[in-house]
Amino acid sequence: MRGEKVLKKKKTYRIFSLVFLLIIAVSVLENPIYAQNNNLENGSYIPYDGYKTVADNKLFSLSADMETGLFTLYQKETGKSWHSTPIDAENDKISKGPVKTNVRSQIVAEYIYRSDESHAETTQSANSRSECINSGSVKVEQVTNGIRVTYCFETVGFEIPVVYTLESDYLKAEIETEKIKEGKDSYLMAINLLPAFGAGNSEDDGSLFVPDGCGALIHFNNGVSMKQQYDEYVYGDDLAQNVDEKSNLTETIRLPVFATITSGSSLLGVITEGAALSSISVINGNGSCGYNAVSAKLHIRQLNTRVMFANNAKNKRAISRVSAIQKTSFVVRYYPIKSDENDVCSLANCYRSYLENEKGLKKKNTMPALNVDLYGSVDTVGHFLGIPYTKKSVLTSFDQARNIIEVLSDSTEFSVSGRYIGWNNSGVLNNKLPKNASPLSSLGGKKKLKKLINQVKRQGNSLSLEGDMLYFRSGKNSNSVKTIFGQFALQYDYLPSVFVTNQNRTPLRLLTPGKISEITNRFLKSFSQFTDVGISLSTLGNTCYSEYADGREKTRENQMQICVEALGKVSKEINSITLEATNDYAALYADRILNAPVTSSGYALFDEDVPFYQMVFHGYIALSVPAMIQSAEINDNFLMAVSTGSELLYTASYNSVAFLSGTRYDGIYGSEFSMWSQDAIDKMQKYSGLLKNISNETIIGYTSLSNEVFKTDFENGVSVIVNYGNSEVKFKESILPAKDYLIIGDDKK
Amino acid sequence: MKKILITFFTVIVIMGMVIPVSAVESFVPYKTYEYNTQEESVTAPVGYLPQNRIYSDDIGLTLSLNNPTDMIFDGKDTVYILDSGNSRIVITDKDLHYKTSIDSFPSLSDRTVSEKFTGARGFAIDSEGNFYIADTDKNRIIITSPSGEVERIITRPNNALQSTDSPFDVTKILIDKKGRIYAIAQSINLGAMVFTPDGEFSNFFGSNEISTTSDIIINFIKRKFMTKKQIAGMQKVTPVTFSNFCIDDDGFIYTVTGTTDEKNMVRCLNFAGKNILKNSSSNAFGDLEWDRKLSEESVKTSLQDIFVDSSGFINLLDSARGRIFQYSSDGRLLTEFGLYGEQVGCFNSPCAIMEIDEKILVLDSVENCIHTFAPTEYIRDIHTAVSKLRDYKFEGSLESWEKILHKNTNSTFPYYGMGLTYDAKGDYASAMKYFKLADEHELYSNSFAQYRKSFLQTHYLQIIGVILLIATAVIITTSIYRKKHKDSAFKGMQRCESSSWLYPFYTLFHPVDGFEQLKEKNKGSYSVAVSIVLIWFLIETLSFFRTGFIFNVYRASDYNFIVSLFQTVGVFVLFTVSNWAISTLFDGKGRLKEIVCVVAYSLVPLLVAKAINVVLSNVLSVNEGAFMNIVSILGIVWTALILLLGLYSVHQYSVSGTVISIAVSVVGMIIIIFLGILFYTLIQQLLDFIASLGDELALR
Repeated sequence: MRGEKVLKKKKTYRIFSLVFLLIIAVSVLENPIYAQNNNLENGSYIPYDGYKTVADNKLFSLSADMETGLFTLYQKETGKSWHSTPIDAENDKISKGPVKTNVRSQIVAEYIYRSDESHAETTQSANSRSECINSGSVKVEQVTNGIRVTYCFETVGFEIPVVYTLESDYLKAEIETEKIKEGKDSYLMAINLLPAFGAGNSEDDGSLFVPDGCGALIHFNNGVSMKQQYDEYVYGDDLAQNVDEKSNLTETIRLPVFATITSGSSLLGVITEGAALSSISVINGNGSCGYNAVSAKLHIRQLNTRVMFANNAKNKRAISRVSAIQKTSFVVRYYPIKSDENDVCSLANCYRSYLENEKGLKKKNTMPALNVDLYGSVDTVGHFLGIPYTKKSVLTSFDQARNIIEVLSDSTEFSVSGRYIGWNNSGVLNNKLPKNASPLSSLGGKKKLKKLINQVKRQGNSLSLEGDMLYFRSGKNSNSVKTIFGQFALQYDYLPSVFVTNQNRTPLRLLTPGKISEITNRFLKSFSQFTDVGISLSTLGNTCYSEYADGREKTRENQMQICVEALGKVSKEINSITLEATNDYAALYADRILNAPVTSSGYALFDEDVPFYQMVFHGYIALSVPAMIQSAEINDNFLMAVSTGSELLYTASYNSVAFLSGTRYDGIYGSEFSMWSQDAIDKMQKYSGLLKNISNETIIGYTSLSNEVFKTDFENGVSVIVNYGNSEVKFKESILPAKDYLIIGDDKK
Repeated sequence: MKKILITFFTVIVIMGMVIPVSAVESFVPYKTYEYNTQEESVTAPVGYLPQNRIYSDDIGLTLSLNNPTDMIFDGKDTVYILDSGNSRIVITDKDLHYKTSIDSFPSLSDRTVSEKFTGARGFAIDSEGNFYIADTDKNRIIITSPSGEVERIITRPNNALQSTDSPFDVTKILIDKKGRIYAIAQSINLGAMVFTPDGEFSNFFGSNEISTTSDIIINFIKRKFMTKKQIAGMQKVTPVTFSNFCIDDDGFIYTVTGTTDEKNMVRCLNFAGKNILKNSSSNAFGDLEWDRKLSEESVKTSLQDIFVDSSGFINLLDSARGRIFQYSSDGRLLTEFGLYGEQVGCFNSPCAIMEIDEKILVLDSVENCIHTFAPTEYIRDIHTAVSKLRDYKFEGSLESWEKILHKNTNSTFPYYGMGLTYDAKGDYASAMKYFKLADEHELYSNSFAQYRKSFLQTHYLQIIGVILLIATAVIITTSIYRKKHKDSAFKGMQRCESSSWLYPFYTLFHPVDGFEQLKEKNKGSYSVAVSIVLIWFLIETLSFFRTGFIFNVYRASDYNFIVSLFQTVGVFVLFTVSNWAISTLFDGKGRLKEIVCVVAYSLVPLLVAKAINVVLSNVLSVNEGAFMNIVSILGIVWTALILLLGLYSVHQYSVSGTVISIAVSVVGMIIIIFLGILFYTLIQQLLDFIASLGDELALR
C-alpha cells in the first residue's frame, strides 16, 4: 500500500515538474513580446504617452493625464495595463451613436430636465468626453496616492468630483457625492462610473463577468444585441413601487461585484459602498458597439412612473416623479488579479478574502444536512353558510414534523435540518408581523413544539423557526411602505397567464424601515422562551426597498443598514441563523443559506453560467440548491447540487396539499411528505458521503469539459465531474453515465 | 505522461460529443401554469425546458438566415428551412447540422434565370421531395423538383375567385397523401383552396363558420335603424381566414385561426371539411383569463401555427404572448411554455413550430434562430399516461397517473385519468370518487349508473324487504288512524281548513274557495306566510349543498348567503310590494296581507317539487334527469295556477285582468331593480370621481 503511494507521489512530482518546466519555457519565449507591448524596460514601467505617474506601490503603478483625468493602472506582476478608457477608441469604426463617445469617457451622467419631471419616460445622458474633456472643463488635482478629477458638465451644469487613489492591492474610485452640484434646469439621476475601464476591443479575447443570479459570463464580441443594454439593479428592483404587470422572471444580483477577465489578468470591481443604490451595466461587442466592458452605476435619484385613470380610455396616461436626491457614499474598488482565461475562481477568491478581511466573513463549519422546509399551517378561506371566513388548515403539526425529521434522519443516516414555516399565529405565511413567537395551538401548542425541539436536538438534527420581518398582509397603515406617489406599495401575486395582478388575493405590504428593528426586537424577546433552536429570517437578508412616506423617508442604502443592524442583534442572541438567497451584506451572519441561486436569468447576452455565488460562500456557509420537487427537472437540480457541493432542500407537508390548488400557496405542489420521501432517501444515500467530505471545502476550480460536462475541484483535492447530458461520456478510464457524476481523488471512498 | 495523454484524449472525446441542441439550463423565465375547472390559472410543473437558441453559426451556415418563415421535418432525418429573405431552402440533419442548401431555382422559361421568392411565408414537400413554395408577395405557388428546377407555377384561379378581387397571397401550403395541394391565402376567406396534383383548381375546403352570436343579432337589429352610409361603415360579418394548418398521419387536416372564436380556434377536419375535434368540457383553446384591460388594449390569444405529432398531441403557437400550448387529442391542456423576451426560452417573433424526437423547435423569423425545448420527466409521464388511455391500455395506467399526481398535486387531470382507469376496470365506486375530484359530471354519472345497477343486482332482496316493511307499516298506521277517526279523508281536509298552519294545504287543492275564504274570513296569517318564505330560502340552500354531484353545477365555496337570500326572500318581497302598488292603480281589492298570503301559499307546490328533486338528484343519472324536469315543471305550473287563481280571488279581477296585473307586477319589479342599480352606479361614479380628483390634486 505504502509503496504504491510513494510511487504515485513520485509520478505526481514528475508531472508537476514537467508542467512547471513547460510553463517556464513558454513564459521565457513569450516574455520579449510582453515587454514590448507594455513598455516594460529594465523592469521599470514607462507611463503611457504624456501620462504622469501619480502613485506607485509594490504591485501597481498609477499614471494619469493631468489635463483630462484619464489614467492607466499598471499591474507589475503580469505586465498588464488597465486603461480607464480604451486607448485605441479613436480608431473605433464599429461603435455607433452615443456608445462611440461613451466608451471614451470616464463618466456618463444621466439626467432629466426639471420641466419634464411629470412625463419623463427615460433619462437623457451626457458623457465626460464630449461635455468635459472636449470643452476643457475637467479639473485634475493630485492627492495622496492618486488624483481628484472634477467633471464639469457645462451644458447641464453638473459638477461631479471623483477621487481615484491607489491602495495596497486595489484602485479605489470614489464619487464624492456630498460635493456633487446639480444644474438649475435638470435633475442628475445616475452616474455611470468608468463605463469602459479595462474594456476589451473588437479583437481582444476575454469575457465579462456579471453576478446575475449565480453569475454569468459574457464572452467578448459575442455579437448579441439586446433591445436594452444590460443594466440591472444590485439587490433587485426597488419594491417600493406598484407594478401593474409582470411577465418575465429574472434572477437578482446578490453580490455587488463585476469583472473583466482576460487571459493572464482580470479586473474585479467590488462596490463597497452605495451598492444598494447602484446597478451593474454592460456594453458588449456587436454590430453597433466595438468594445466590451462592465461597470457600476450610481442612481442618486429614482424615477418612478404610474398610470393614472387606467379604466378611462380618454384620460389614461402615465405620470412620473423623481425622488429627492439620495446622498450616499459610493466607492468602487478595482482589484487587478492574475488569472487564467475564464477563470472565475480567482475572482471569487479575491472577493472572499475582501469579505473575510474587511467584513468579517468566517468559516462557519455548519454540519452538512438534508434541508426540509416544514409547512405548518396556512390560511385558507372557509365558508359558513356562504359567508367566507379565514380558517387555519394544518399541513404539518409539530408531532408530524417530528415524524418527518425522524424518518428522514433514520433512513438516510444523515443530519436533517428543518425550517418551520407557518408555525406561529402571526407569521403564518406573512399574514401579520411576527410581534410574538407563540406557537399555534392547532399544530400542538408550545408543549409539542418544545418536545419537537428536544427530540431534534437529541437526534443530532437541527431546526429553525421562520420569522418574516418585512412582509405582512394585514396590519397598521402606519407600518406600510409608501411609493413615491404616496400610495401603499402593494406586492401582488401576478396571474401567470396574462401577467396582471391577481385581485382575488390580498397583496403583501412592506414594513417601513423605521420599524424593522422594533419588530425584530419584539420577536427576539419572545423567541427567548425556546432554547436550542435556530432562527430563519428568509426575507431580512434578501429584500431591499426604499420608503417614500412623508417623514419616514429612507433610501435603499438606509434600509440595508437597518437590516444589517437587525441581523447583528439577532446573531448575538441566537447561534444559528438560516437565510434565503441572501445578499452579500447579510451572508456574513448566515450559518446556512437556503435556495442559493444556481442559474442566471438566462439572457441571450450571456454565454455561460458560472456558480460564482457558490465559489464565494461554499465551504464557509452551508448552501442549498432551490427546492427539489418544484424545480423544473429534479435530477438536473440534484446534479447542480453535486457540482457545487451544495445541500438539498425539500418542501414538506405531512398532509395532502391538493386543496391548495388555486390558492396563493399552490406553488408548493408536490410537497406531500409521503410522495417524495423515497426520492430524498435515495438521493441522500448516494450523496451523503461526498457531501460530508466536501461541505466545508472551498471550490478552487470550475471548468466546463463540454456543454454538458462540468468539473469542480475542491480545496481538499476532491474533484467532481457532473454529466448533465443524456448520453454517457468517457473520462479517463471511467465511464460517466448520463445524468450522473464521478468523484475523483476522494481517498475516503 | 500517459495520464496526461489520456486526459487530453478524453477531453477530445468529450468535445467531439458536443451537440448544439443541448446545454445545461434549468432556469425558466416564466411561471408555467394550467387551468383548473374554474378556468383560473394554477401553478404547474415545467413541461418543456428551454434549451438554447440555434443561430446560423451553430447550424454551420456561411450566409446567415434572413427572415426564415417556415420549417419542415420529414419525420426521418432531414429538416428543411425556408430562408425567405435569402430566397433559398436550407437543408440540415435533425440535429440541425448543415447538409446542403438550394440557392437557385431555375425558371421555367429560362433555365439560366433563377426564380426569387423573397417574402415567401410557407412551403411544403411531397412524398417525392418536390417543393411547393407559397410565394406570398408575388401571388403564386412555385412547384420545383427536389433539386430546385421550377416545374410549374400556380397563379390565381380567377374563375373560382370571380366573386372577389382579393389577391392570391398564398401564405401556407399543405400536400395530402393523394398529392392534392391545399393553400391558404391571407385575403381569401372562402376556405383553403384545393388544387389537383396538376395544379387545376378543384374546390374550397373547410371555411371557418360564421359565428351566430348575439353580436350578429344586435347588428341585424341595428341595421334596421341605420342609414346606408352607416351600414357601409359597419364591419362585414365574414368568416376569418385560418392562419395555418397541418396534416396528421391519418390524413386529417387541423386548422388554427387567430381569433378567439371558440368554434374556429382549432379544428380537425375530415375529408368533407367537417370539424370532428372532440372537445373536452372547455371548448376554448389558449388563455382563458382576461387581462382586465380596456377592450382595445386587451391582448387575446391569437394562434398562428399548429403541429400535431404522431401520438396526436396538439401543439399550438400563440403569437399574442409568444406561447406554445400543448393539448391532448381530446382538447385537454397538458402544458404551456414560452414567452416574448430576451431570455432563454423567450422569442422575438415565433413563426413556426415542429417536433423532432420529442423536442419542440420554434423558428424565430426576426431573431433568425431556432429555439429548442426538451421535454421534462413530468410531461413525458403525462404523454405515456395519456397515450395509454387513448389506446385503452389500462395496464399500469394507475401507477403512471399516480406518478404525475406526485409531481403535480394542483392538477385534477390525474384524477380524470384514474377515474377512467377504474371505470374500465369495473371499480365504479373508485371511479366515481376520482371523477368527483376531477369535476367530471357526465363521466361520474356513467359510473354512477353502473354502480347503481350492480348495487341493485346485489341488494335487490334487501331493497324489496325494506319496501315491504315500509308498506306494511304505512298500511297498519293508516288503518289504526282510520279506526280512531272515521271518514278521515274528509276530516283531514276540514282540519286543514280550520287550522291556520295547515291552511296552505287547503288552498293547494281548493284555490278559489280557499282564497275567497281567506279574504272574507281573514284566514290568512303573516307568520305562516313568512315561514313558507323562510322554508323556500332553506330549501334553496339545501339544494345548493345537497343536490347530487351529477346535477350540481355549484361548488360549496360558491355559495353566497346574500345572493341566495335575495333570490328567495328578495324576489318575494319585490313581487308582493310591486303587486300591491299595482293593485292600487288597477283597482284591485286585495290588501297587503292578502297578497302576501296568496303569494306565499302558492309557493308550496314549487317547494315540494324542489325538495323532491334534491332527493331524486342523488339517485338518478344524467340520462334520467328528465324525471326531475317533469317534477319541476309540475311544481311551477301548479304554483303559477294557484298564484293566478289566488290573485284573481283577492283582487276580484277578471281572468285577463289578473294576467295583466301579474305581468305589470313583474315589470314593476324590474323597474325597482333598475332604479336600485342606477342609484348604485351613480354613487359608484361619484366616488370614482372624488377619488380621481383626489389623485389629481395630490399628484399635480
